[in-house]
Amino acid sequence: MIVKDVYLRDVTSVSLNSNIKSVIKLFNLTRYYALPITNVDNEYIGCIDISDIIDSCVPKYMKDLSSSAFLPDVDMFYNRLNNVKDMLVKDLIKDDYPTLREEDSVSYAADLLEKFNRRTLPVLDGKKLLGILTRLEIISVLIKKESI
Amino acid sequence: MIATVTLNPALDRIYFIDDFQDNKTCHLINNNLVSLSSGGKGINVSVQLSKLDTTSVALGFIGQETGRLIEKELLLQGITTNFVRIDGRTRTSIFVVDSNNQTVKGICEHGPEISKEDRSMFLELFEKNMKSVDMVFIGGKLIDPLDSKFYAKLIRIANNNNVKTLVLPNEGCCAQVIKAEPFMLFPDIRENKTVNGVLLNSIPECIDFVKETYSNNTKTQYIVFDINKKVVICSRTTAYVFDIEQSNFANLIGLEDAIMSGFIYAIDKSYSEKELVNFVGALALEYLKTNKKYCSNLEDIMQRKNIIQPEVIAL
Repeated sequence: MIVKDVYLRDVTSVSLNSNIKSVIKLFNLTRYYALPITNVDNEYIGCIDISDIIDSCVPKYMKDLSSSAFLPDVDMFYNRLNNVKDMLVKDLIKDDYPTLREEDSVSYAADLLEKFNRRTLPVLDGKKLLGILTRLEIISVLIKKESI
Repeated sequence: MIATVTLNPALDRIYFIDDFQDNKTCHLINNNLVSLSSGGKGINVSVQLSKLDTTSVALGFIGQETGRLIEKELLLQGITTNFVRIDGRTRTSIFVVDSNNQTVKGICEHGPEISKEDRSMFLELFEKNMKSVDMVFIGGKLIDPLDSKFYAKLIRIANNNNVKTLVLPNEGCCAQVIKAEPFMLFPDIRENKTVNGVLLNSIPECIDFVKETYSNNTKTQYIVFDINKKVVICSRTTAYVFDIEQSNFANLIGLEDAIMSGFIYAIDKSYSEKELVNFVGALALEYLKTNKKYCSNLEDIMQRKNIIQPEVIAL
């Protein structure tokens, strides 16, 4: 099975100048965990992942702790999120985000999702965005195949 | 690549009831008597194109669960989607098809409102897509507060990017649309039989209107009418007339969507004018014959294309 058989042909994307607040809203509406970024010529230039937004809201000292369970509240996170929400996508873009091609195998895609700890990967043809592949899509297609 | 625009999509729920009576509750005896499908002109064209093995990207606004259902259905059919997600709920349309009485009754919701931010987001998305497509179909019901000027704006953006625009405006939008000079125009004259206040009640009146439009308009190459059980396709030099027999059921599912899909398919395949006209006519007639929402028998359409003979009128 190859990526072409399973990916979603949804080319929803954000722009470099979209603000993070609108991106979070779009994450909420699409229920995806990452969104591709395209330029004015509709070419893929990178991805923004919800985990990167969360990461940018977490104080550095917290990242060094083995557990944050003892912290009294999420004020620190909330304060940082307030600053981050007005930032632009270009401030958090990952231009080295892993990508897929239609002809890649699904096992390669699954490996990439696991290795990079991502839930969503963009599918490209050169610089053209063709859609996205999520962990859920892979599992759903495999389950359907099994039930046939 | 082809893009279609549906500003106000709908989730169509169609009930097939043999004898639908007033003041009586109808209990459906099985689930096959109700169908749920995505609707809206652009979406219909995207689905029809996919039945002809032609890929397209569907653009527009969708919101909440009805919007999500529409998107899911399109994705399942292999259609690429690029919608602006809005807070409002995508509308639902309900139809009752009564084959005994040969009637169709329906309720179409108005649709949600579009905020300024969503409008700007759509324009940005549309402009981006115009960099990577060759053709765009724009049609169907407008969505508040967008008016006919919005259609014209989209046509101008597409024209500036050398993208061919095929437009099926609803009544009241034609004046702005004609000014924007779309590549192809299919005015809806089924109810009022007027375009820009000009009464079009016969083929000669349509032809006069076409001549007048072409004399003021440099970009439009085709104008199409569905009038008095005939489809009239007017190029710059010739009018081609096909006889059609249309039932109430066909009205429900939209002959015009099939005609637009035929145009897009033929232009995509770089058909000559004669081939294009014959393909569009063949698809329209096959479509009416099937009496289904979409026509998928490409082989039959091709066979009919080779034998079909429209009446030809020089302009």
